[in-house]
Amino acid sequence: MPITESHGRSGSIYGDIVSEWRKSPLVAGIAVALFVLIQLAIPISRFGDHERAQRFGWQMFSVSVPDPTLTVVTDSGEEKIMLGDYMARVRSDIDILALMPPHLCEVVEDAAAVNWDGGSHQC
Amino acid sequence: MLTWLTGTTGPRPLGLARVIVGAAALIRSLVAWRVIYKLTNPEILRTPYADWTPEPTTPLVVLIVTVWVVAAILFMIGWRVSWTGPILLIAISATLALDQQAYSNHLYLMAWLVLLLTVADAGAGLTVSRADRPVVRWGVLLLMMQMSVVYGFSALTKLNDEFLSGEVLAGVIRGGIVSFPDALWTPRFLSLLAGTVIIVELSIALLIWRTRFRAAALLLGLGLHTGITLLMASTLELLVFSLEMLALYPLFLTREELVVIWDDDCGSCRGWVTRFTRFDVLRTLHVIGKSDPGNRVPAEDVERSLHLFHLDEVTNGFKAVAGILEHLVPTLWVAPILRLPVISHLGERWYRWQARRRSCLVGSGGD
Repeated sequence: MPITESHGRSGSIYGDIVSEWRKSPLVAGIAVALFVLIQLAIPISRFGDHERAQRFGWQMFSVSVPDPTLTVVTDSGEEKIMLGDYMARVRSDIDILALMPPHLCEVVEDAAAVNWDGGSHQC
Repeated sequence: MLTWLTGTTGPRPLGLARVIVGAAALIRSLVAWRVIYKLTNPEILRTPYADWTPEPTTPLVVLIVTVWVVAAILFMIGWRVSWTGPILLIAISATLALDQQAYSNHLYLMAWLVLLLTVADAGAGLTVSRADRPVVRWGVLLLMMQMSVVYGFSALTKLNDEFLSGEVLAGVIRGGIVSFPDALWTPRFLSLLAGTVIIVELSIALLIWRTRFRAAALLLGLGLHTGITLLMASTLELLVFSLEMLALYPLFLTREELVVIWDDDCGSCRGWVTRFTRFDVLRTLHVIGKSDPGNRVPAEDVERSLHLFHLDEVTNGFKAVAGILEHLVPTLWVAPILRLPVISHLGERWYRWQARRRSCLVGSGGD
């Protein structure tokens, strides 16, 4: 496959060498201005003293949020939950404590309560 | 300024970025499959962005990933990029929109890169079906700015007590291909490392724009990406992120021609020049033999060492070799290492040794 070699054919076979809209100063100006605006506005809006990393802000490994330890109380006792068994992906930008207890109540048979360090959720 | 933005430039660095980002997208499709297929299991938590987000069903997931894989391959080889780019972007965006758990910074970055590469006409160079054609500068500039934005904000968001204490690094530098040395696993060293990471990211974001510091920025980038890919868990995803970022580095290389003057009576020199031209994917080398009418360098100087003319600067010997390697694929990502003092010194000695033992076959092209 000649990926590093051009075929030596004229660009004109395929029409304009550079399309007209790309050569327009107006398009270039708007594209650059819009890009700068979006690329600065979104990450800046995600800045701040947040509990967990914020999405769309290029916050990569900037804070560490330890995964909560959850246990489910059932008729047969209390069992520790492996988050990976109930999440597609354990991410620190997701509020696991707010979302997971109600979900565990739904999917774990005979679940009576979900406990974690400093809190509990009754099913 | 607008005139400069709408001026044209060579398409090959952009084409190379497309090939690498396409390959990264292909690798990333494996992770996407793993994550979004898991969402089809009713026992798995659903975290949609909105109530109207479609339920991830097996047929939907298979459709998204199949489209993703096919589009990534076609995008990588440069087949109708103006179509395959948007299709790949739709597959990536659909994955991101399906559930909050599908988000990752490098996937979000991939969506931006595919969009920008498509807008910049990345199908203009290094494709299977077309001859090269020039591209406008503003499209390339957006990709270059994207690189600085990612490194810049990544560094700025790390300016917090938790990261600077080394606590965050202590949690993430584990489970990689290479184990972090136990002897260095101290709060003091991890804190020092955390500060270094921030400085490195900020330095790359800024220095890459200056020709004078570009090699240093490349070296820092190489060190950073090698480090995170080898030391941290989620190797595949970090490899994807590293590929995405390293794909953008060649866009910063100057488009000014590198004029190489070499001794075309020398067999071993011919071997080297043949290798250089073979890896000149970006088409920046202009090779002139000693006996070529275009050569203005005295023959005895060329016989002593290879000469490189680039950006009003003349280098020879090992420095010239290093300068050439900084513009070839794949050596451009590692060649700045050759500028380091000890390596440069050893390299110069090696070059002189090579020059002494070379077999000069006057009037012959053979080795």
